[in-house]
Amino acid sequence: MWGGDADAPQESTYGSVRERHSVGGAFGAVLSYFLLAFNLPFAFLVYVSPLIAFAFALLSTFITIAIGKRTGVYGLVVGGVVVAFIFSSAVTILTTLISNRYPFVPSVTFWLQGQIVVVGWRRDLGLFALTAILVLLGLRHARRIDLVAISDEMSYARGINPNTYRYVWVILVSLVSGYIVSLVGIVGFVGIIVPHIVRRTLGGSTTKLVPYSALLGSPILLLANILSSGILGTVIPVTAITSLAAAPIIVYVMVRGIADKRY
Amino acid sequence: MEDVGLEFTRGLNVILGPNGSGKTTLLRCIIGMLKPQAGNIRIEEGETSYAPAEYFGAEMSVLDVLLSGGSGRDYASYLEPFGLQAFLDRNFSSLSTGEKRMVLIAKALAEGDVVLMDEPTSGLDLKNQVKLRVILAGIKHKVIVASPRHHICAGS
Repeated sequence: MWGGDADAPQESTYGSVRERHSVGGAFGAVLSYFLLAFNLPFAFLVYVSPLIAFAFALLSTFITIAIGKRTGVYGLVVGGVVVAFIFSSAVTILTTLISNRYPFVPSVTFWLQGQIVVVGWRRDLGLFALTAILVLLGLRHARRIDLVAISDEMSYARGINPNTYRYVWVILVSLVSGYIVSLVGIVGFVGIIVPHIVRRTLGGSTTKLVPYSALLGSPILLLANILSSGILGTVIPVTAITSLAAAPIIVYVMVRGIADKRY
Repeated sequence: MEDVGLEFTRGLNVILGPNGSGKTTLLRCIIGMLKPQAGNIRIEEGETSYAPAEYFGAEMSVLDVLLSGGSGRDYASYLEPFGLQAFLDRNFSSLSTGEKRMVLIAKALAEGDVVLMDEPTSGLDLKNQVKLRVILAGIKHKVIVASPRHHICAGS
């Protein structure tokens, strides 16, 4: 299911934006998790927890884009890292304050770092429906998304306003990934490595990126989940596994990318 | 730019001017990317297409680039004059500047009734510049080309 989130309509740099709204979404979700679980003030907010997650996902995304707009592609990446630190610091402060004040509240470490088992089966239908809609919509728009990725002028000539189009997709993807994060926590890097594997093997057209990322993302996450749920002798948060596996791939892609440009 | 009054006819129309004189700006106004501060622009017939001077490094096959936008037009007849048939499976981002330019020109010619080209001959070698001139000379579309003078001279 997480693989379905991997289909942002933009070039690879937007992967950075996607990771950011995961963190923002997680902040919103953690907030409402505490409120509900322990009858803290404003506990009613938990009933709209996915909405809060979505709102923070969108907020972090737009802050990142605003930074990127003024500073270009590398600013977008650095801005994304900065925004991620701001929100993860906010999560740390929030969890520390709460555990000092309400010591009976258990740690959310596992949930925060992704633990798929928390979801159970109850919400799977909703998750599947949302992801399926996003994937089908992405497939339907694949050729137009490709055009916007090639040239702004060519998009305008074809009657597509590329800026509006990008914003619509960022909001759509934030909506779905914010909801997923509010249920399973952050599972890092799957959304970056999976499309890169597809891009390297099958090409970077959205017609291939969307369906194959969705197909490949699920087994990769499942494999990471198996590794994280006891095979190493103890349960490890799944994001630690995915991040470890992703790091060398990301470095490889970056080095290849820079090497490719030196001609 | 002030007091611009232009009407383009079928066949080749060329906007000549030095760098920075507003040729690209004019083309961008025609496709609606920029709004003129006063006055209006009317396109009377069919689809508009654009062969840009600058574009993002699309990491996809040439075939995917040609199919992008989903216009459904037949581009095949425009591949042959440029010798592009053998390129379809190549990665677009791995092509040379001139080859990329020819792919985008072929795509624009296939898709548009009104075809706008921003400095189409820059990056093309002499042989391909001549090829482009020959194709444009016999064109039935309404083609609007923006070019600084030296490229057109080299082409003809």
